[in-house]
Amino acid sequence: MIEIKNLTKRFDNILALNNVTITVEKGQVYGLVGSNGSGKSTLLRILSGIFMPDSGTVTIDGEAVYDNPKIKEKIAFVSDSPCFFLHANLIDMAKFYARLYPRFSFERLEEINKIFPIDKKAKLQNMSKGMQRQAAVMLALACQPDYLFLDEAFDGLDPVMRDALKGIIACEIEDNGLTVIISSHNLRELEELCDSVGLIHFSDLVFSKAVSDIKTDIHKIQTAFKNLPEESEFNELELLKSERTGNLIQLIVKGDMDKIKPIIEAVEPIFFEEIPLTLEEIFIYELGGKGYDVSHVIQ
Amino acid sequence: MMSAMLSNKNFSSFWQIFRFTMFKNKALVIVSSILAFLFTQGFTILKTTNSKVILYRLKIGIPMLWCICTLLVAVLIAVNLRYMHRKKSADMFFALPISTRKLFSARFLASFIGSIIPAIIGHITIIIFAFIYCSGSVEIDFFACGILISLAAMIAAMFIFASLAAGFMMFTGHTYDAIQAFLIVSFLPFLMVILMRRDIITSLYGYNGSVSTSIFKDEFCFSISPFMSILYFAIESLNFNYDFDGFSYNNVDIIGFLIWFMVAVLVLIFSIWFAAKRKNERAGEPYVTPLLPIILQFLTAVSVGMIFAAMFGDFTSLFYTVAAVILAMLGSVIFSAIQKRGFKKLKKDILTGAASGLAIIIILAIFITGVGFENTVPAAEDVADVVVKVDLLTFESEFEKQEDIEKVIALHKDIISQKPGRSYDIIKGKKISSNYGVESIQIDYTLKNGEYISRRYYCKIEDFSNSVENILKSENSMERYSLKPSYDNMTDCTLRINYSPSDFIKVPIEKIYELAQTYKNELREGNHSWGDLNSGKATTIWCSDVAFYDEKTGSFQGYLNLNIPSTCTKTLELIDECRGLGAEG
Repeated sequence: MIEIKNLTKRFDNILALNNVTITVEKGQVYGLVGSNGSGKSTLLRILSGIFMPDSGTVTIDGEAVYDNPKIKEKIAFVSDSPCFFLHANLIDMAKFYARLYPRFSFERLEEINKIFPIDKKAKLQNMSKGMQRQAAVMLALACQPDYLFLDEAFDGLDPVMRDALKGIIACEIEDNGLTVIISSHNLRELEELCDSVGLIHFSDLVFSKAVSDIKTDIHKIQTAFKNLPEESEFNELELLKSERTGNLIQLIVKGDMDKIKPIIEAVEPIFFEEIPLTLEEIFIYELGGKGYDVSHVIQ
Repeated sequence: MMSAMLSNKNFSSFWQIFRFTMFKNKALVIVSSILAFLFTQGFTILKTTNSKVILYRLKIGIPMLWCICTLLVAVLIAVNLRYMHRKKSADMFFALPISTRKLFSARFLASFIGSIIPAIIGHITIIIFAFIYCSGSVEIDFFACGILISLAAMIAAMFIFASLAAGFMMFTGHTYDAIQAFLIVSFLPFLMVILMRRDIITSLYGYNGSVSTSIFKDEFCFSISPFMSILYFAIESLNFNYDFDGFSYNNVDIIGFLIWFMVAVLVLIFSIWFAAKRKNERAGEPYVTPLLPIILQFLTAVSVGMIFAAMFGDFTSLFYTVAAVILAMLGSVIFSAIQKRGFKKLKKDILTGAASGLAIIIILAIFITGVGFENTVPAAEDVADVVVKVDLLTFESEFEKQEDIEKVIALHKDIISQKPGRSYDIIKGKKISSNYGVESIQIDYTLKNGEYISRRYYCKIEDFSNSVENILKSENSMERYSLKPSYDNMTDCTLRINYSPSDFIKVPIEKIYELAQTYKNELREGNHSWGDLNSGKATTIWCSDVAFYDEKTGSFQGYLNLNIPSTCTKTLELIDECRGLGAEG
């Protein structure tokens, strides 16, 4: 289990993370969303033991991560800009990682290589950004970690490879109980993969919830009325947004659907339908309702 | 044992990183080793069978080994430790399951070992070739021993280089900064020597050839640079058995070398400790930036203070060495920080530092004029002997009698009372041996506790003529001209007369004794000013260069130069008499 408590990190005068508290259970996929410079990468680097926390605690399986090789053996981190040795190919890098990660498996590397068909003998530094990222992910997975941290993992991958990566991660979770934290500024990428999602905005964790909870708590309702009702008739609803097009009204409502439905039906709609919300919409409405202007945050 | 160590998880990760780094370094090390082999063996046995020539040829490859290894260690450290300074590689290395200290240590050790491999190959092959081509030669064992010492010195020097370079890499935020700082620290003294040699030093010290200048150039500038210091050691290492007559490491600044070695050990220890405290997110940014104002102020203050202290101060060479080491380390971080911050932002810091330096100067000035050594003249009862040298007069005499010592001290106080200002030089702990041929009075005390106090005052001797003359006419001074007891064994000597006409004449030693005694009496009785004896203005006659020829050994044993005023009529008569004797002889 990953436990981040009251984590604060500064870079000179810049506050990168402010009092962040997150808990990620084993076998979960946690998505970190936020704009550039919001602190996602910093959080992942602290989780990987690259940075020292200024205050607060970061523990994995109950132990602090920084400068702790025992815990780091269980972690694989794929940076947003993967690093390889000069003139090294995939085999060279695999040999390097194999020396340090006791569970490193060349067999596993071969298996993943079938999905990500990278020339093992080609120099990694000459490869495209997407291929380099594939190589980094392959190496990380070959370490057979308990915890995988991916920073902008889908960046630079073509749609086929994105799906392939998602598939591999899903298999790892199912087979080996892998715990994954993925950062992205593209919420759509995370929607189908993540169990929980956190939004970091200007160093604050403004939102952290299980996806299932989010989806049952906020609803997009499309309805039409013969005679337009008074606004006061919806006073009982926790209305986040309403939009009217002719007789058609679109409502974003927070709360239990079982309680929302009778209130709307009492106004006798001609038509009533619940439309599935994307995670992105949920974030925008939820945070917009809290006074955050996050429309530019989530792409 | 190795397998047991490898099964130890702590050691295993260290070993794996070390092994991997060694493997990655292999190309550089192999190329360097080949070069080392070629330079040391390439022309060993060409067209000669003379064992001495072969040994000499073998040995002259060693400077190239120094160059190769020095370059290699700098490159390896820069390559292997730059993981701290690049965001990409910092992400990769610091995420690895190895402690940051072990990671740093393993990379450092691999760099150091890699750099000494060519040195070992070069030296060992020198020995092998020496034994192959010069077996049976009497010098071979001695030669091999010298080569092994050279190897040990080179390994120690490479360790110093590696440690300092690793320190630079650790405490600067950028590889480029680290390399730049190292080069500046290494080569800055060269520039200092060149730039400060004449005008600047003259303006600082009053005279370019002064002792302080010499100390500043030779010790301060030299010690400030690890490169210079070690290069000097390297060059000196070549002196061993050059003539196959013994090692000549005595000339090497062993203390300076040991100080650098200790500094290197401390830097390495501190770097390893700091590895776990280092903020890795600072990759690419200088570490020292926040500390810059403090460091800069301190550095400026110390520098200004040291310059003035060197002008008026009483520092030993050890002080210079230690201070230079500290300055070298501070200098490195300063330069890397300046690179990032720019000069404009530093102006305020420099001004503040200069103000601090001024404060030091004021304190020094109070110290110097109040209780300082300027006014400190040793008590006569503490002095075992004193030597007074008066330049231009070519007068030098040693005094041991208490009354003579008191006369010298009176002269010394006389000079001080006239405040010659900055035109004098002082150094404690060393005897001044150079004669710069300008008007100066030098007083060298040897105290009863074994210490030396040496003072040289660049001043007009005329101003102190009474005191000087007083000493000149003292018994001890006269004793110099009595030719006793040094030349008692002489049977006769050659007298060179430098006046109308110049002549070389061979005279019995007894005649010389008589001549000296007469001269001494006339000096004592006569009213000769120091100027008469000094400048020759009142002296129309010179008799110089009495060369003492030892018949037993068949060689000249000593020379004496006498300035004889025209008023010393009896002396001159004796000289003429000698001329006659010589003619007879």
